[in-house]
Amino acid sequence: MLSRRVRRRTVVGLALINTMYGGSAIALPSSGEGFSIALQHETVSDSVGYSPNLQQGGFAAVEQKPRFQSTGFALSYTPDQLIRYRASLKQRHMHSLRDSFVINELSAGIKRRLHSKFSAPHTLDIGFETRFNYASEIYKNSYTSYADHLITEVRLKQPRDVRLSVRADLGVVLTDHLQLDVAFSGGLSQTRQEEVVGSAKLDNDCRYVFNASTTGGVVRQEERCGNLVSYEQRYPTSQALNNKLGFSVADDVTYWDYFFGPQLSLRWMRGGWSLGTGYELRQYIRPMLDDRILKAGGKPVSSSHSAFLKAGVNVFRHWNIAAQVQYQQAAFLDDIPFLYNALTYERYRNKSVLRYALSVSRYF
Amino acid sequence: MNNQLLVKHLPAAAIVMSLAACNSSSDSASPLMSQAVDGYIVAADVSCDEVSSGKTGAAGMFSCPAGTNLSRVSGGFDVGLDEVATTGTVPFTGVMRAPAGEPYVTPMTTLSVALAFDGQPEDAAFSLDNYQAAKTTLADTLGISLSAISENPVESLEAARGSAKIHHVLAAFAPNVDSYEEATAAFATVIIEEAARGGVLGLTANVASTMAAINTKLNESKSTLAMATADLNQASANVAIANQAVQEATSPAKVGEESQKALIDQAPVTIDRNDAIVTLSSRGQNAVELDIAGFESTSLNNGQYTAQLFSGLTSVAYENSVFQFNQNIIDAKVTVAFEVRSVNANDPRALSFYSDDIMVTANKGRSASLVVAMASENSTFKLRSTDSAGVLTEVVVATDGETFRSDGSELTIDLDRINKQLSSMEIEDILSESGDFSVTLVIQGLRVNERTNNATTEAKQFTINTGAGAIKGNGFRGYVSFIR
Repeated sequence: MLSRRVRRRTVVGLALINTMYGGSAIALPSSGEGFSIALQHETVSDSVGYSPNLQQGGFAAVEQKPRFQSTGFALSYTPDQLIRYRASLKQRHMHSLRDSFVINELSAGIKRRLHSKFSAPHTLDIGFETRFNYASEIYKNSYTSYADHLITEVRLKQPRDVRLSVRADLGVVLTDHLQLDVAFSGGLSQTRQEEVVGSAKLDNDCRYVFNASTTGGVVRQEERCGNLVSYEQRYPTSQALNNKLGFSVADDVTYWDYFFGPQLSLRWMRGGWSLGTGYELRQYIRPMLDDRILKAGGKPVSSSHSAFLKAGVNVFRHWNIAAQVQYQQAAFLDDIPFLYNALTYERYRNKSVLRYALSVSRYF
Repeated sequence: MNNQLLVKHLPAAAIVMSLAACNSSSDSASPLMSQAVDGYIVAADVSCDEVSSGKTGAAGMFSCPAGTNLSRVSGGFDVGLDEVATTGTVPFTGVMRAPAGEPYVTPMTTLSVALAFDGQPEDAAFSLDNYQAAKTTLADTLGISLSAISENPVESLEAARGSAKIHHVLAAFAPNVDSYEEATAAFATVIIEEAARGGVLGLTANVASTMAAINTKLNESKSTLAMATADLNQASANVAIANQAVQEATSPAKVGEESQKALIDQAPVTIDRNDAIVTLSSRGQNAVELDIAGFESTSLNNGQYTAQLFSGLTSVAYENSVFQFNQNIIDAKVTVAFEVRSVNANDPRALSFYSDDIMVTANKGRSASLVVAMASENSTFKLRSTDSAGVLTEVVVATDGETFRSDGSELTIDLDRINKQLSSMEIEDILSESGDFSVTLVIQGLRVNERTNNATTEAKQFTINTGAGAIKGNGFRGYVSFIR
């Protein structure tokens, strides 16, 4: 049997790194109380030749960047053997050929062990988590064909989403060193954006700027075009904007979904070392998927699959280092629901990728 | 101090305070407060050293930043002694200037500024010393006390009389704002020459000789404001009558009343609604002709107005005889606005367009001589359309100059051209569905009166909301039902 201290560090280290992948693995320790802080970094095997449009025209020199990477930290507090609180802050950088998005994620969760339901050593935990993605601006610096217009750049102002999930974890101790975890999670996501602003160029080479919000919008000509010295059209409602331009913030950049799925994992722990492997299936149901996303290959019902292998080791007295590699068949968009809109859907929908993560934790 | 006293004394007090502040250097950035007064001139454009600085408010109040040399007030409305009005019905078709330190901007300070600039290079800086000397010249030559030039015409009977008389003389030559400064410069030249001779110019009984001298100067400079002899005699007689009435007025208020009455009586343009015909043209339907009274009637017959159309309105034409010209108007720059607006409060449809760059030319007594033209090739129209869904479109478009036109018999508003412009921008034709609409034509920038049953009265005023601001002027408002 692992010592209390070693067992706790190992389990917590794996749990922290596991939270990077959409799951809600705030695993409770078998015993012990305390506080931990972890630094995390993640990158992917998929790189992209990033070459954004330049203000003066043309493109910047190509620079190879990972399509997705994130850095963050997590705090965990376990006041007793029955409950754990966790909060994390993460910043994601996402690159495509022309665009670079920076997105912040804040999450908080609680997990409670239901002692009365199972006899030791088996465990049943129930957890609740909320995640909040936020960006001050998503600047899509690439051309988008939209409602018969060529949008040369678009800025999504203050996009944000919230994801609520619940999760049940059943831990079955197979031997002193081996444990099987069976989990089932489900939840919903909702996204909202205050406004969309951008520039568009029409077939007649007239350039316009637009600003659309959930309460209406305005289209304004940027400069004189032919005998049209200036042009401004104001829409009093989102519906009027949609009727005229086929553009509605409420419909186009507001999105929600349900998701659910099982996770199966096996953990081995001995002498400060740990190994884990597992598989997770997540089913997404998107009942209000935009028509344009459907035409671009989006599906109202979709699945994501991921298999992971992770290892951790306790070093020095209060430290744990964990690494994970994960094969994922899923869109990056699944992690950031507010990108799941007609303007940005075409980005970050890779289906297969290897993700690598490293976590360093300190216990107090 | 009650509000009225506060309004009357605030500019003077503010200037005393700002001058004191300059001396103590404790608050040198205090704005310079002034009042534009002939009667109170409200809603007039203000510029401070040629930098646009908003409009005059109630009681003609405005301010310029500290350090301003000259303030300039143009257009707006003369509201007499009404201290709370912010708009009016009698347009002020003049331009007044004063040093930014003067508490009141009046026709007398305007002439003094013109005198101060006389003989100076065009780009010369304004000199307060020259201005003080000019006030003395003005007082001596026109027989006005020096102190009255800087007094409030609302309080000082002498200042009220002097301002009104000078304005009457200038307005007799200048039919609109743009020509007022030209007339002022000619008047200033006449004063300079008379002062050099040590003579005095009359503004009342013998105003004819003063106006003749001004007319001579205008002729010498080949100004379009110069009048033929007969017209000059008629104008001089009118001004003499008006200025005599002002002279006999016993209070500033009475001066204001007499002045307003004179300006209405002697407006350069008279709208004569008797027997004039309006023609409404539409696609696929014979044009509807009706008299102005029928067009302007709001009475309904079976729920519809007298004017009824069954397809899109393509033009509205007003017979030229509706305009009588009481003096020659040569290239007077005016604003012309047109609006079609649903009268149903729940129906947001409206279309308005206007240009503030239109030139009007007409010969005295000849309605058929009316020529309406865009001022230049760079002239533009401002269009504003609100469709049935409340979508508001504002467009500024270069124009071919044919949207407002006069062909010798009619002043035509060519809606078809406008609709084609809007259609090319995929903007809804607001008249494509049934509805009851008001149809308004407004001309701003000329003094216009109205003749009804041989009585001359103030012309009806209408306001068109153009988005950038309301255009208020004289004109017509008719009603039409579109039946689909």
